[in-house]
Amino acid sequence: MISSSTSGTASGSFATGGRYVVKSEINHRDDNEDSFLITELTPVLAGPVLPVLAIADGMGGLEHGGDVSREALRRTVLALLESIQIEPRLNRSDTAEPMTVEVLQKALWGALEQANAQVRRMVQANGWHTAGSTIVVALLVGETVVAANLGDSPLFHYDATGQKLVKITRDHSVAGVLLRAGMISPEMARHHEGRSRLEFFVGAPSLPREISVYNRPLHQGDLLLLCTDGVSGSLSHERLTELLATAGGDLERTADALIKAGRDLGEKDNQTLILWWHGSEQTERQSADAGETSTVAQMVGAVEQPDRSPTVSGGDTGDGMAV
Amino acid sequence: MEGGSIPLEIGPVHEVELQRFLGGGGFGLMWKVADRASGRLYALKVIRNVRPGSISEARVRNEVGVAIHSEFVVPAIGLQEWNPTTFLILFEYFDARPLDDLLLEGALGSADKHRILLEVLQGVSDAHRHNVVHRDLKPANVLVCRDGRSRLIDFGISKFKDVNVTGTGDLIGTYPYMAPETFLRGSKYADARSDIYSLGHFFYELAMGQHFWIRRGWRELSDLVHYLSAVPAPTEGIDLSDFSCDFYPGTAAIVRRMVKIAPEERYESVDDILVELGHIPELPPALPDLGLRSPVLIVESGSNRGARTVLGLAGGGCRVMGRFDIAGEDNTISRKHLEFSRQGETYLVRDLASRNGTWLRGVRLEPDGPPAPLRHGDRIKVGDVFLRFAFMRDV
Repeated sequence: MISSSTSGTASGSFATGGRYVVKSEINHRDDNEDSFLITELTPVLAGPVLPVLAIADGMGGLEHGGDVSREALRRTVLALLESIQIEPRLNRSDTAEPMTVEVLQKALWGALEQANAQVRRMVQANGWHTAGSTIVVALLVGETVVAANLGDSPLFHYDATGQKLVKITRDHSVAGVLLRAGMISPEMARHHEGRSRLEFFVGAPSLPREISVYNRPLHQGDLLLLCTDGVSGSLSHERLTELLATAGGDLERTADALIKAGRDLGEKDNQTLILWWHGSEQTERQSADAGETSTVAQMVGAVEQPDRSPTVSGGDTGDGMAV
Repeated sequence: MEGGSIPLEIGPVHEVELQRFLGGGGFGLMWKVADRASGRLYALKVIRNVRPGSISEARVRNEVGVAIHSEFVVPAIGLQEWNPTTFLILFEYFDARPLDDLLLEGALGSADKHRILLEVLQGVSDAHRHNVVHRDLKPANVLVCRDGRSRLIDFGISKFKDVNVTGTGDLIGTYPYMAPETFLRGSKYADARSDIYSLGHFFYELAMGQHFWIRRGWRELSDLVHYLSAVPAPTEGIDLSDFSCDFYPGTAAIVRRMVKIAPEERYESVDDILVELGHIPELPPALPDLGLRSPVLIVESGSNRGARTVLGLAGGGCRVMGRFDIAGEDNTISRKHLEFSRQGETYLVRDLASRNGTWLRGVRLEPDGPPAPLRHGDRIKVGDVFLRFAFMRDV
């Protein structure tokens, strides 16, 4: 599904394990220029599916932000489909080899390059002059997440065992560059004028010399948070950790708490997030049977039993919310 | 669409014929048009998809709102709101090419570059005298006209009413030309010295044929950050060890002072650079009866526009002025904002630690600092309001 409807919530799970909740809120803006996409690819015929989670944030103040964020997601996933699912099977009768992380990383960056070229063509053809979008994409490959980004929509990994939160992606903002160089502090970066000024994004004249692709091992019960800066921009790392670790209840409640925390700090921008719980039904049952009381076990314990078909609930979901 | 006509209501122009599409820039489509009635040529910028209340709209209005009287600035004639999301801006037309294209072609000789540099410096000096900081100075924003004159364009993000243009705190400008303090501290710290830093890169590019970043193979901000993080830290934004300039030999020291990392180590005004290059800028003409009559302050913007106040000061006297003397309802002016004084025949002004500052010739006066001498014709910005200081016969 690709959606940039005004506001909405959806949740679901995948047969390979893992469940998610997605929320997109217009907040105080006139339009919701954020888009999100949750889908799956099957690299090996009749093999396990590869969940794809993605968020794009049409850049504020520029024209057609919503159009561009939708196109960025659409083109990225079409390119992934081609390189992961179609090309390996073209004129081949045998079963394709499973994809390695390295191959997926290359495919993912190639997809972002194609999306960038397409958006630049789209902007030029329509005479929009200046338009762009951030993007963050995560592919779940067994016990590994492979991710890539352009712009400042981040991907966080909450390690449930170590109870640590790690920001996997690097922001391509002026503030992000200065922060990494140690020229400003994280606190300064959150309030820096260049925190939203992007050097690289989908639709930019050039892409970073060092490709922004990452992979990270996941463990049962870990969380992934993909979001726009409307969710994470106002929150300190400690506050995000606290929300992911202690919100309690279910994924949806955690997502609500994340949205609310930003607004409580005066966030006015569109807010979109995908919260992914990494695990299987078996893990959940084992955890429940063992009477575990860890935070994450509590969090997922209240979630409905997984259903192969994701459900849609609440908000003005619009036609784009159908999965 | 070429050959078609569109109705306009901008100044004396009521209908124009679209003659030629000149190109689409980062911020609008530009057409060469002719006034149906007079046949006079203009440039018409069409800006679409402007969201009401957005930064883009503020930029559009700003571009017309900035009126700089200079032969080196392309003047905007007026603005028309075609519909809530489409704006038209009418400019004087000049048969011209952007400087970045000419540099790319290597089409300029030493004499051309000499002239272009001087004219750009004079244009920026004129803007600063009007308390307008351009904030995006680069070759693409200089038109080299067939009449032999260079003119500055794109004042859409200039610091005129910065609150509107950077409403969401967006950092603005073009990275390779942007002063370090703008990166580190933000656009609101950009003043005339930030433009001088950009002009230093501009000077270097004219002299060396390529921007410093290009010569170094830099593509990203992190390249600059890496350069700035060296130990010992560089004091200039450009390594000038191999600098040479055929149209202004021996000027490495001037460029060096223009691109100092610390703004307080740069030239304070573009006029100072012109003087060092051997060019004495024209000063506003002083009237022959200077000293016989008192100067006046003319309010040039805001709700009290047109109001005049005579500064009747005796030698050694001073006068404190604030919101109620200048524009009663404007909260951007402090109650006690600035102080005028007279020493002999020289009038001076100083800021009284006002909330939004006092600007003179593009530089913010030090809060509660020493008084700065005033020249006939100077523009002073207090809060969001412009004042003109002038000696007049008819008061």
